[in-house]
Amino acid sequence: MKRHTFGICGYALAASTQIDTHASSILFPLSNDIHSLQRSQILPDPYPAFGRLTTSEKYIVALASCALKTTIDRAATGICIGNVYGSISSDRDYWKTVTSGFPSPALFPSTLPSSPAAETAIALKCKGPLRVFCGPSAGFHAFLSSLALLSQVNETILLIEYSKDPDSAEFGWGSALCLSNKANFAGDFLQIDSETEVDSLAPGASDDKLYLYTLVHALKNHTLFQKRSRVGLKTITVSLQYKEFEHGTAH
Amino acid sequence: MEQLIENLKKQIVETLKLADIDPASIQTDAPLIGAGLGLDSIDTLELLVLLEKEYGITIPDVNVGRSVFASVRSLAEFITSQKKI
Repeated sequence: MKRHTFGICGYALAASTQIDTHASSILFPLSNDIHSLQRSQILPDPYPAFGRLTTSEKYIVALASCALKTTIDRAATGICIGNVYGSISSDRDYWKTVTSGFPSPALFPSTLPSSPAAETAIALKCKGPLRVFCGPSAGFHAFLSSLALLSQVNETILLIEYSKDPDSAEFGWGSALCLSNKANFAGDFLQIDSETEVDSLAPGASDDKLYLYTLVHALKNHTLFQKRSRVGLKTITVSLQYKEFEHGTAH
Repeated sequence: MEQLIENLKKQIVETLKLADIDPASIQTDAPLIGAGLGLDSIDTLELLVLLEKEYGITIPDVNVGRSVFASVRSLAEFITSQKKI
């Protein structure tokens, strides 16, 4: 029997929409200061490496933790992630150790684009498949990949994307949240309304509209969604300024 | 010895970038690896380098390493013993 939970974490960098307010209230009940994010705020179990994660990684783990709050079987939870930009700070921190004479093996993993997925899986004990996509449309490919996985295997999929530009076509999961707000959104569940007009869902650049159209098209036409009237599409997003990427690892 | 233990706790946090952990919260006799502080083999490698750089001490073999990295106290005791040699 397939699981119905379908998590999407929209890791977007928009700054002034109602999405952000909503997300902030979910994600940061204890603090509005991004640098003060502590492991104990989101994870009950000890995770020593949390302190050396980059800021973006911390937030992805936090988002995933929120999205999986009601998921019981994390051993059957997979992660598909689209990593558009990676983290500048992790490269910089690692390079500092290289020039100091001993390249840090502890910092090296954070320089890899797959690191956020791996760290999330470690922190949340997710043992399903990990798929990482890189490049400008990485989020969308991660989304399609998770659909394919959901149709083939008995897994729960968590989708995460991080992107820096809210006006670009990579702004996928933010669009997904727009979709959830405009469609019949109820709690953690989203019903895709076939009458929903794409134009009304994509306020912004034309790329967004095109992207969202593709997203809606995929949602409507995939057999997974055709067969079910109710799909567990959980959406969480967060606001983060691009500069935080550069500040990176909190020391 | 107590001063060395406190210093080691700070150095462990700084070296391993455990920014989320207060050095004072590390239990002196708790295991460093696996349970307790929860460090892994990569962390241990970084601690080996710390020992060499800061104290000029090398771990001769795996078995010694296991006992040395059992806890902060065992680490401090090993450093003290090596300084006496």
